[in-house]
Amino acid sequence: APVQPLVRNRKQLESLLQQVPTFANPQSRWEQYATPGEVAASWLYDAKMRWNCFTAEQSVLDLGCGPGALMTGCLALGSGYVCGVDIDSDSLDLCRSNLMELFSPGNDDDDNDVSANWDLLQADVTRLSAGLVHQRQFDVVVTNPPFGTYSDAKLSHKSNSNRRNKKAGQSTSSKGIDIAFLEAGIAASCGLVFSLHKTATMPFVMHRARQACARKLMSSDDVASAMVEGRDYSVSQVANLRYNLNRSYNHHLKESKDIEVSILEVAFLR
Amino acid sequence: IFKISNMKLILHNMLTSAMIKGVKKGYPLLLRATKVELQPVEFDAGFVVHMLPRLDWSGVTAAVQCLNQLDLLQDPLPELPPTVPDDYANNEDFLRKAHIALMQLDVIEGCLVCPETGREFPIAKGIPNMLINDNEAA
Repeated sequence: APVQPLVRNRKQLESLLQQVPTFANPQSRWEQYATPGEVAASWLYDAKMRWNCFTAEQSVLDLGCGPGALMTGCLALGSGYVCGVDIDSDSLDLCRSNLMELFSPGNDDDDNDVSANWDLLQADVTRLSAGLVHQRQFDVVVTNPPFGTYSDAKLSHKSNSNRRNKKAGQSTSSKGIDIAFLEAGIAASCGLVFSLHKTATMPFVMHRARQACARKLMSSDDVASAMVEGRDYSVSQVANLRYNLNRSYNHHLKESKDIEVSILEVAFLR
Repeated sequence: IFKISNMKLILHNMLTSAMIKGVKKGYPLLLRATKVELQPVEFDAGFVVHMLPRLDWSGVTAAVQCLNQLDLLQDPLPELPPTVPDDYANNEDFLRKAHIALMQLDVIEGCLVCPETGREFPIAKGIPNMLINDNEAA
């Protein structure tokens, strides 16, 4: 029987997200790795319990959506509209087919016709803020960004295959890309931002998050003033999880490895 | 049979070409659709009311005008007022029309066009491609 898209509890969400088909050939040039189903489920369900987010009137943005595990979760929890952004055509094709499999208006195969509202956008997240007409358009932004562990030097060492694969306009530098994703999320959100980072980098990431929030102005009727932590926004480390990077990358470790990741939560309080 | 689900006008409403060097505003992007479809999306007043203050209404009306001119649908999209009415939160007739425009119309194939440079951004299988070359970047 087809999987029920709408979920009522954490277990159902986990079960659903573990079934989202993932990358067959993760592309190392984008540091692609899909969010494991159980990580995504835990992450989103806890957020929902904490904030009652992902409701029918809310819009959600997923930066670096990949095959769509997070998008699937946000839709399954009841979000009104979810937009996923990714740079890679193959990811977007896979994501689109995954979402259409589960959420399609007028899907006649299913007795329980669940429609959901979503869009996909092919774009460079690091250039996204410049390309959106307004900031703060989304209630929630979720992102599992590339970790940004590869510098230009390492990527160009891969030289031939990278030059063949590199398309015009796609940046080869991954340094600081997780911060770039976080900043894009902070700009796009009027409510919440959740992002996933290596635990070891969290003090630095949180510092950069606070800087980005402080730069984001509160606009009231006639005055734009800087945001104040505690009053206008909060930055917290809300979960620590273990994450398994598989051995798909040919320049990566020879064995499967667990890494420790944490979830950063930014909340705009007013 | 799966119905296609994108690109909705709510996304078109947010996109600009301002990441391109020399573009002042890049908004709204012209909607040069070649294939569109109206979907039976359930009306949700609460969603529209919540989202409306964050949208650029002139972008919505421009998109609907573009599409009605292209004459791709059996029936044209409902006409929208030039500005959002003050009583929009309680105006179901208006909310329904806005919902149809924003959430029920899928632009499946075509392109988005920068109003200042004419640069085209293709839409294929309902997914707009806003990638630019490094030498175009601001």
